[in-house]
Amino acid sequence: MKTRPSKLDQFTDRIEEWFGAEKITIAAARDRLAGLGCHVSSGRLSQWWSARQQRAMEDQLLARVASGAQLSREIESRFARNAPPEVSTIIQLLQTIILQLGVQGTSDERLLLIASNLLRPVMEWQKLEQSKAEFGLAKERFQRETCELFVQWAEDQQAKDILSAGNKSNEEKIAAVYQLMFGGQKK
Amino acid sequence: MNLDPAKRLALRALSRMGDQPMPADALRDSIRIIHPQLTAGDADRAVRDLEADGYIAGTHVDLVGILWSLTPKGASKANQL
Repeated sequence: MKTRPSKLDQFTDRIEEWFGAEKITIAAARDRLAGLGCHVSSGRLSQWWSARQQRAMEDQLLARVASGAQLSREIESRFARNAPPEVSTIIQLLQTIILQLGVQGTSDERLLLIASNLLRPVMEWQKLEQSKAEFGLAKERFQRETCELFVQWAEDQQAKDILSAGNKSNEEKIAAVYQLMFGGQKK
Repeated sequence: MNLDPAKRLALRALSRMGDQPMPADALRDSIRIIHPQLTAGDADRAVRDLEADGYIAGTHVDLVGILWSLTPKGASKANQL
């Protein structure tokens, strides 16, 4: 909020101490100011002080809003990427609660705990997604290695010979393949 | 155009949100914390006036409610405050 400069501005620190820590009256503050060479009416001093408190409150609120927005942004960048709709709704609800608590300047630990507990299902979902991805990779690797082994095995001339030998029974072929793959006699 | 203090505060609060939208309840509470003499209805009216004047725009999200953001006109106005 833009305000006009006042001759009281130069005494801001002192006036804050008088009304804050010392809790003196407007009349007493006006007398002290007069002693410092600043003559001002009680009405003007009261008005100046109210406007100043209003500005301070507004600044505090806006700082809380900005910090809530920052937290909301962090939650979004950490959890919202590729989140399915149901998780997105949880994230948005969480962002709303965090902003609401931030605006109210609440220090109620119970409420903050509830808000942070809302993150749990989101984190569980993330873990599940990660497990799924890891399982997918492992499955892919297994399939690729199996194919490679099969190709390797199929290309083995001896195996081809065994499989294409028309004069052997299945039992004989199996015994021969067993011998080829594992060595020794099939029991 | 001069805005009343409640509307000025709403624009400044939304400006502090940056790229994040602000839930309607949080915006209403912000106005009422600084202007306790205003009722929730007064605060809502100030917000609706800002919307009607093209300074802010809202989107409705299920379970969450309305999320307000500054329009380019509102962002420009907020920068002047």
